Amino acid sequence: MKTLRQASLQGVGILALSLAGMGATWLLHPQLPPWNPMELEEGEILLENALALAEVTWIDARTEEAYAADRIGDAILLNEDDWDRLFEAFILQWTGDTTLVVYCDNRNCSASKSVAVRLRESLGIDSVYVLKGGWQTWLDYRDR
Amino acid sequence: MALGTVFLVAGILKILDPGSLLAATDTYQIIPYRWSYWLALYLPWVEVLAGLGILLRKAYPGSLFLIAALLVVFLMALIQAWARGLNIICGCFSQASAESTGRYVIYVARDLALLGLAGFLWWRHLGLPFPPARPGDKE
Repeated sequence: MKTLRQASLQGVGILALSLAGMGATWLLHPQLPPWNPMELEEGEILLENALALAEVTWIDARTEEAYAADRIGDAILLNEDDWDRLFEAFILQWTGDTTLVVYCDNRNCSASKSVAVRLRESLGIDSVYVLKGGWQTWLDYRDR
Repeated sequence: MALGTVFLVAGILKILDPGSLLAATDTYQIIPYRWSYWLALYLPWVEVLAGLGILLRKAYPGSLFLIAALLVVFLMALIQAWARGLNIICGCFSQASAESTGRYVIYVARDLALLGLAGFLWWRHLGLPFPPARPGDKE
């Protein structure tokens, strides 16, 4: 019982001390994450900017079922569930001279980021972007 | 030693790169973004201080208690994301890029192993014999 009380007190002490650490990070860290979730991170693109691109190929990183149900324009399905087959199909369809914009469900999904990373690595190009907000942002735009 | 080192290293990596932790926390879809923001700045310090506490044997029971509590919270977060079929970034250690999904078994097994280690250390801290003596065993 004494050990438990001691552990609780020490735990509270560590939690309090961590608050000071958090303050130090907030004040001193040179690369704080964006306070606004819609602020762009590296490799991301806003929908309006993607739509303004002259030549864009949409890459749908959601599930095959979601893709079959609906997608952005002539989006090509490419996800990590079946990467090899889908990548092969993508290569056959992609002309090679358009900017690639990858999207997944919403701003919380990570599939578009991983697909974009793999595309940059596989194709050796930088012009691969992740759509900020993903499919949800597209729906909001379309239904406006 | 191992438990303290794991948390110390994980914490330091996250302090250096809070953006990755925030991106990871957000994929679990448990708390709003702004809460995740502060959590991404706060949690790594808890890990570092608790890890140091174990390594240096200062505030040892408190550090062990906190680490066990953190592991339980991490497990619950993982399991709820697994149950919801979310495509998460683990955020267990800092990582710059997103990783593929389908690693829930590894994450959960790793957390359970660390939780078992924390339990073992707690048991030893209490000065109890290991393995626990059965009722019929002689002293």
